[in-house]
Amino acid sequence: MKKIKFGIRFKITGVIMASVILASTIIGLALYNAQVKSNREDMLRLGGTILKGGIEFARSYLNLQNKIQQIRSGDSASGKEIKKLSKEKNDNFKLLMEHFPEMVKREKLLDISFIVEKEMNRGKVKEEYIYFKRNTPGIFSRSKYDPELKNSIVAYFYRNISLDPHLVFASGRKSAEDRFIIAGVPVLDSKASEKLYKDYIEFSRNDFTDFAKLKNRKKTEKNFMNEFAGRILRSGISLNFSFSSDEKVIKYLYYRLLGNYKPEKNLKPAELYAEFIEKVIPGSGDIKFEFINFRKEFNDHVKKYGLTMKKGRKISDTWPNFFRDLKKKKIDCRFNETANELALKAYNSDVMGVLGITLHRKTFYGDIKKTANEIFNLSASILIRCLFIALFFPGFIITSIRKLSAGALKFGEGDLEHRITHNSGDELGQLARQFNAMADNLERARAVELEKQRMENELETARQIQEALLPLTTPSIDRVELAAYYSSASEAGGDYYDFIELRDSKLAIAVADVSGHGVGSGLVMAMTRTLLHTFLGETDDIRIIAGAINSYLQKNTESKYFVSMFLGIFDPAEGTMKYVSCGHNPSYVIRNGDIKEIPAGGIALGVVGADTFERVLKVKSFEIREGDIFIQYTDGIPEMQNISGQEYGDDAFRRTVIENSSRGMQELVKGTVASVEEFRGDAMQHDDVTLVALKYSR
Amino acid sequence: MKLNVKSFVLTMAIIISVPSIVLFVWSSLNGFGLIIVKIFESVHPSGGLSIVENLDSNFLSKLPGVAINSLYVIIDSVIIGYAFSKLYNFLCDRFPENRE
Repeated sequence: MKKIKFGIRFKITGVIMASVILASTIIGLALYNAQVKSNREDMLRLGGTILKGGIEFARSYLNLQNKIQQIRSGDSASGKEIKKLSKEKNDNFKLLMEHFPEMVKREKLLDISFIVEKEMNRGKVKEEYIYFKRNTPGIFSRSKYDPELKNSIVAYFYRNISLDPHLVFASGRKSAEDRFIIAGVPVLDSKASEKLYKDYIEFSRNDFTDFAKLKNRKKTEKNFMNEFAGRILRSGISLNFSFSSDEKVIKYLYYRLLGNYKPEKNLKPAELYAEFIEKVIPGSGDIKFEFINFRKEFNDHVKKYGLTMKKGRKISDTWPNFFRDLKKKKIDCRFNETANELALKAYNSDVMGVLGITLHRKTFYGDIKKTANEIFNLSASILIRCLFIALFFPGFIITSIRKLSAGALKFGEGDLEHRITHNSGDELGQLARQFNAMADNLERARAVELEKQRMENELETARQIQEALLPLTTPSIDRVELAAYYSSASEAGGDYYDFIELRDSKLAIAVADVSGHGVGSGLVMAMTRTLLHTFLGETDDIRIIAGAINSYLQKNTESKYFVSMFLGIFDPAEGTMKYVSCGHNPSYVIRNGDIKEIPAGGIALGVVGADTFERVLKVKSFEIREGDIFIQYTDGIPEMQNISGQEYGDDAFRRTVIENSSRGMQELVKGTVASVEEFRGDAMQHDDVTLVALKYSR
Repeated sequence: MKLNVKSFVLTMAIIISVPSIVLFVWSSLNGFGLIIVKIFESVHPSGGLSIVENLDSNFLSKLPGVAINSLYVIIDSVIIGYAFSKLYNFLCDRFPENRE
């Protein structure tokens, strides 16, 4: 038997283990991620709460810082004002510095806090990083550049419009555990700015599904874009846009700006504008006006006419409402950038800095590590048990299958008495029961087969005995040529023929047909033969013989058995055939190519009692001349059926006999039988066939 | 004499599991035998649902821990019982008793 290499145990164990490993990995990763997310959210919530507490101080501080710088850079710098603002700024900064140590003491998770000051000068950004002391109010250090913060939290707020606290893991260090965890929040210039960006974030999040709202949405978006563009211009960042009418814009802008200046008395604004517009858009206005050059042109214009600014006025005051005013004047402004791009630019110009705090790495990673260990231990614990179960579980199946296999092998070897002992109620138990039932059936079938074999053997013996009762050879009698054929439909037949030599060279010819065929008929046939031989030994009176046989059969056989018989005694010396017909077929005599039917009649043997039988029985005789052929047969020949159920018939039989009459008797019998067999074809032989032929020659 | 694997596994499962489950329930109710439970839980992780980790909570909160521990003890006793009987039977075949 071929050795099993990767059996059921291997397969089931493999499948169970693969499933458990997959499930454990997925569940483990899900739990781990959930824990990481939960820890991040906790840290962000904590960091965000603390940062929000300090954001107002940071906003005031950064606003005052910007204001002082603007005053210092302006023409009308006032020492007193700067001093007052500086004091105010320092107070706010102090409050900010005091805020963090207070919080850090309460939460061990918190580490160093910081503020990133952002300064924008003509679109260029400068940062300053100020780190606060952890335990006491004060500055820990200052720096112009910090790659950890610049590339993480600061970069995030440069790239995303966000008002909420954000948590980042600073990059740049090899080990994840060495990286800073930073929570930060953007500091915008005013609460109005915060509201604007909050509204815009809300606006951009909302998907529009209703087309009726599309127009309103477009309108709102345009308002946002105008607002953002104003803020961008105010901060000095370049912006690409175009107008439906440059001249109208220049006119509006010129008069708006000129309102900030005091022109000399002899200069009229209309004349000044005419000169300005001629310079900005010479000729008929075919040359496209570059708005970006407007500021330069206007400054040159102001210098040329010595215009001085009115007290408290600023050019930058123009920009916030610039685009809104253009809309009022029905001047359409088209931006080359999308609303999101404008929003980000404006947001970057409005963010004054980033307030942040670093969080203890060990607390975060410690929790994560603990969770990872717990998940690993749990998974390993489950896996080990599953491995045992996966290894042992198939044992039950394998044992059952082995029992079944051994049982099947025994059955195959012929041991049908073997039974598989597996009484479980599962499918394998059912299979075992079916195997046992199959063995029962096989055993029964084998017993039936043996019985059948025995019966066939017995029938074969009966057939051999019956064949032995028929003449092995035809008697050799001078001037008489004999031939016979016999074929039974089953193992034991009911037909009988015989040639019995008597005294004085006489020959008794008997052809009989017992009703039915098979063993019963065969036994009756044997009985008839015995009686015939016995009585022929004592007398040659065929009437007495027939009467005696009839009486014996009528008394000693069942009523269903009867025998039709032709019994004749041929005397070659006289050329006569004396015969009795006991309900048998008529005989034929062929003379000179003509066939003559010899009358039959009588009652079959064993049917009626002696009185009736003898009353009907008549002994007759007919002449057999030189060259005559005598034919006797049983009804198996004319009643032979083909596959269609048609009978061979007496006419066909007679024709065949005449056709073969010119040949020897053996050939006549063979030719006749061949014709009958050809007619039968593949059809079953229903009755025994006997044919006897005699040719007489003087 | 060989062991009947099924019977031995059942015996082990009953002998080990029943007292253990009683102990888990008992310790959840009033802390009886908590040290043994603590030792048991130190090698049977339950993802934060153990009895010891929920000592301050009420009995209902400890029930998941009782259930997980019980499951552990049933599986372990079945595994031990099966492994023991199989190994014993295997060794019995290798070292047959000297009948002389």
